[in-house]
Amino acid sequence: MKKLPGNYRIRQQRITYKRNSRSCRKNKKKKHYYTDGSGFWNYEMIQAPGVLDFSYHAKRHHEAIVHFAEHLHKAVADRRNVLIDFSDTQIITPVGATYLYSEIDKFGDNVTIKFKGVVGLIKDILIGTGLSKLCGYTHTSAISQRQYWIPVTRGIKDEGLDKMTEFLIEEALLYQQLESDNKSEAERLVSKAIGEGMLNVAYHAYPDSEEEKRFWWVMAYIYASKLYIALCDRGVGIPKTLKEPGLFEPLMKRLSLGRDDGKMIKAAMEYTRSSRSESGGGLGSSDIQDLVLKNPKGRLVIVSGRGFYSLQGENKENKKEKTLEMKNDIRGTLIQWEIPLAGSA
Amino acid sequence: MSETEIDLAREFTDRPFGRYRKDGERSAEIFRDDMLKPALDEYDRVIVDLGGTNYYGSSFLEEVFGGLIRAGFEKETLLEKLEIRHENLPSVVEESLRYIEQAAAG
Repeated sequence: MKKLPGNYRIRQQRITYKRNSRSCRKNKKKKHYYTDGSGFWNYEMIQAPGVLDFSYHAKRHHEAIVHFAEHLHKAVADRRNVLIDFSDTQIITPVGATYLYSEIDKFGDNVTIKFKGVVGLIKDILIGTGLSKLCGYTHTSAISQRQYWIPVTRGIKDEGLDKMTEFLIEEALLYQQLESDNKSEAERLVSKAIGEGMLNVAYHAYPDSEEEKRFWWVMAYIYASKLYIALCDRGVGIPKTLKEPGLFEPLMKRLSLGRDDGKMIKAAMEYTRSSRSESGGGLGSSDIQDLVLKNPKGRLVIVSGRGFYSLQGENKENKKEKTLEMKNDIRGTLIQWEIPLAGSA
Repeated sequence: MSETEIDLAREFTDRPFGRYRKDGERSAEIFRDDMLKPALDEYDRVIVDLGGTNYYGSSFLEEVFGGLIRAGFEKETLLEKLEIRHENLPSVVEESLRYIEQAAAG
């Protein structure tokens, strides 16, 4: 019997999808509705972007990601069931999946969300982050048997911070990577970075929400010898917080930043407790930075509002920062710490 | 000379979190106002042992120790009366003292 190539099934799926899409357009049907006979009638199909990653290297894909999230947001807000098609997705990172998770978890309560074109690494990431489970799938894969991740968890204040810290210290052996033989110091470094991020969500992200609804989503994942930690919220975003009259006005005047969201995130990172405002408290920025500044190859990325900020460096005096202004607002904040781990799986 | 010791992890919480009272019962403001300030008012010397936990965010430490200055304590009085300890983390002690200095400098 003739052996089929490994990607035969994917190719066939793509051909079927393209054929059906052409047919829909030709017949002037609603092109978003999936009609290939696989049972997902009345699902609005949304194409996932080719790259679902918020790193600096993926900056040209940010617009597509935000556009995808907006499309998804609009569909679930209108209570339409959604079929997310990953057939054209080449790269999805755990951090990108965390952003998607928060979108579905926050807004997708009364709809059914299904996936299409989920294979290989994409499947692993969706399982590992818990996105599959959130959408009602019971998939398992080889990667899910390994305890190298903490799936995305939703919480308020510092819920689960100790569990997360314990995982990072014990499982990821992060204290070795931080060039510290002092486990206590490493524990503090990790807990204060994530904890201050969580505190920022409680203080700044949702100015109009009740305290018990000021949610964040957190995740840790070890992949390709790198540890990723992501903390995400769906609040107003750091730039908007800085634009609030009164709270950070002196800082804004001093820095003359204009309205560039990327530079505003950078300004927030320069804001320390020494310039603490009576009305809001500092942003705990140095705690958030310290975790990567202890590791020369570590990287901190913050995407918030329409701004993008990345930081890499050995210490506060010798650090490389990049900022970008994106076209679209991600409606929230995503903080990601990326730390290389020597000898990890 | 009267002296007392406060073991934060044992007597207050081993998971300190948040600045303000509204952040919950493990917050800096509650520790400062309900435990530390009364002790400073009553005793000539107060030892604050921060050991037993490493979960100290900068916000918590700043609100406890910088907050003492904002609450009306003089820097000199605090440095004389207050002893801060942590058996494993000298950085936590240094940071706490720095917040006193910074708050005093305005």
